[in-house]
Amino acid sequence: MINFLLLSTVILAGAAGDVSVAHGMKRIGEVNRFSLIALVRLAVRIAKNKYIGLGIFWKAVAFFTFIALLARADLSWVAPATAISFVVETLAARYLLREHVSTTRWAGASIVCLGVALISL
Amino acid sequence: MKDFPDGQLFSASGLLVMGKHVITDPWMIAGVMLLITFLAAYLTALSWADLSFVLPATAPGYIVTLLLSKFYLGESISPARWAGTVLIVLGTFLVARTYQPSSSTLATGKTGHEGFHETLAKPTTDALGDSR
Repeated sequence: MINFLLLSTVILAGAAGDVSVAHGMKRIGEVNRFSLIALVRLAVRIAKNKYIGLGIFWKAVAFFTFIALLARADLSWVAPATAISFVVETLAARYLLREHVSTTRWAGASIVCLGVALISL
Repeated sequence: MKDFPDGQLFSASGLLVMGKHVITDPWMIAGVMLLITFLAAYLTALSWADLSFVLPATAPGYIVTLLLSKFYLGESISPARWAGTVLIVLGTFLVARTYQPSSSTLATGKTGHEGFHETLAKPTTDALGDSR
C-alpha cells in the first residue's frame, strides 16, 4: 500500500516537474541562437524562471521518492511500473498545457509505455 | 560513487573528502558533464516542441541503455526486453509522425506577465485546436 503511494508520488511529481519545465521553456521561447553570449543570457533567463525552478523542485521530489521506493520494493517492479508515467504525462500535457494530442500520438505514447514497461522488467 | 569508501560519509571531514572526490574524479566529472548536456538538450527540445511529443520521442534512450548494458556490461537480453525494444521503436515512429512545432495555446510566452494559473483560468476558444 505504501509502495503504491510512493509510486503515485514518483509518477505525479515527475509529471508535475515535466509540465512545469515545459511551460517555463515555452514562455522563454524557442532556442535558436547558439552564440556563446546568447547561450549565457539564455542560461541566466532559465535559472531565473520560476516555472523551471518549480519543475526542478518536483523532479527532485520524484527522484528522492524513487530512491525511497527502491529501498522498499524490487527494481523489477518499480522500473516497469514507472513506465505508466508516459501516459500520465501525455494526459497532463493535454489537459494542463492544452497541447493537441492526436490519435496517432496517443497510440505512439501508449505503445512506448508498454515497450518501456517490457524493457525494464 | 562506488569508488568512494563507505562509512564516515556524514561527518564533516567525510563530506569534505567526498566533495573533493566529486570534483576530481574523472568519472564523476564526465557524469556531471553528460547530465548537463542532457538538461541543455532536453530544455532546447521543449522550447521547440510539445511535451507530449518530446517525452515519447526520447524513449529510444532506453534502447541505448539496453544495448550498452549488452555490449559494455555483457548482460544478456531476455525476449521480453527485445519485445519492449520493438514496441519502443514502433511507438516512437508513430509519435515522430505527429511532429509539429508547439501546439499548446498557452505557449510562446506572449507578454510574459500573466501567470500559469491565470492563463489556465481563462481557456481560449481554440484551446482544443492545433492549427497555427
